Amino acid sequence: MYEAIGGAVAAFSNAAMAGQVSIQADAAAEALDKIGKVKDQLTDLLTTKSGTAHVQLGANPVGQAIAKKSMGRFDGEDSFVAALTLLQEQTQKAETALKQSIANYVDTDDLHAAQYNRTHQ
Amino acid sequence: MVSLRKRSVVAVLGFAMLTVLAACDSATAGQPLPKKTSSQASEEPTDESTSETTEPDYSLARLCELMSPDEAQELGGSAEGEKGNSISDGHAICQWADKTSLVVGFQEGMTTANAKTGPGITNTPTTVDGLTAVQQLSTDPIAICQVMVDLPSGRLFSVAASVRSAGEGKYDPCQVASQLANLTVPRVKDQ
Repeated sequence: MYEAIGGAVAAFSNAAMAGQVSIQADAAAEALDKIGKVKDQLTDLLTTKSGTAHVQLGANPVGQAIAKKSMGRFDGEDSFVAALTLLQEQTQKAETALKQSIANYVDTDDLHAAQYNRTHQ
Repeated sequence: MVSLRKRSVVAVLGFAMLTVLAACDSATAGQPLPKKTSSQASEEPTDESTSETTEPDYSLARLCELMSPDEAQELGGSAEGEKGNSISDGHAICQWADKTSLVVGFQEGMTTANAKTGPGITNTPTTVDGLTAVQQLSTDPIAICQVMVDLPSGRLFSVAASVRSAGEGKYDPCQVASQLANLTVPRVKDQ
C-alpha cells in the first residue's frame, strides 16, 4: 500500500522536475494550502513522540519480550510511526513537485511572452 | 393500698420530672451558637479555597498552564495549549501549535539513560537548571528537537519543538526547545 502511494507521488515529482507538468499558481494555491495543513498535522503528531519510547511490563523475560514487540509495533518498520514518516516524506515531495509545476508554468508563460513580443515587433 | 399506689405514681412522676429537668439543665449549660451572618459565612474557609491556596502555581498535573499565552507565542506556539497524549506510549502532554509545534510532557520511572539512539538521532548531554538532561535532535523525516530532563522525583520531563509551515526559516527547533526547557523546568523541578 505504502509503495503505491510513494510511486504515484514519485511519478508526479519526476514529471514536474522534468518540466512536463505546469500549473497556474492560482489553480494550485488551494492544493498547496491543503498540503501545508496535512504537513503541519503530521509534524504535530510526530512531535508528540517526545520523551523516551520504552514500555515497562515487568522485569521478567515475558514482560521484556512483549515490551520489545510492543515498541516494534510503535516505531518498527511496519509501524504507525513508520506510516506517519512515509506520509510526511511523500507530502513534502508532493509540495515540492507542486511548487516546481508552478515554476514551470511561469517559465513557460515568460518564454511564450518573449516569443510573442519578438514576432510582433 | 390506694395511697401506696398513688405514692408510687407520684414517685415515678417525680423521677421523670427530675430527669427532664436534669436534661434541660445540661442543655442550658452550653451557650447557643450565634447565628452566622452572610459576611461571616463567606469568610469561613472552605475545602476548595484551602486547596487553592496550598496548590503550587505550576504543576505537572496542569501541563497546559506551564506557559503563559505570551510565552508560548514568543516561541512560535499558539496562545493556548491543547491537552493530549503522546503517540509513543500515551503519556500526558500539552501541545502549542502555530508557527512551531511545542510539546511538554513527563513520564514516570524513565530517565535520560533511556534516550533513543539510532540513525538520524543526535544525543547531546547537557544540564537544565542544574539537572541532568539530554538534548536529542532527530532529523528523519523532519527536524524535531527535544530536551529530556531527569527530575529528582524520578520522573522524566521532556519538551520538544519542531517547525511548522508558517515558521519555516524563522525558527531553529533546538534553540526553541532549549528556551522552552529553560522556561518550564524551573517550574516543575521539585515535582
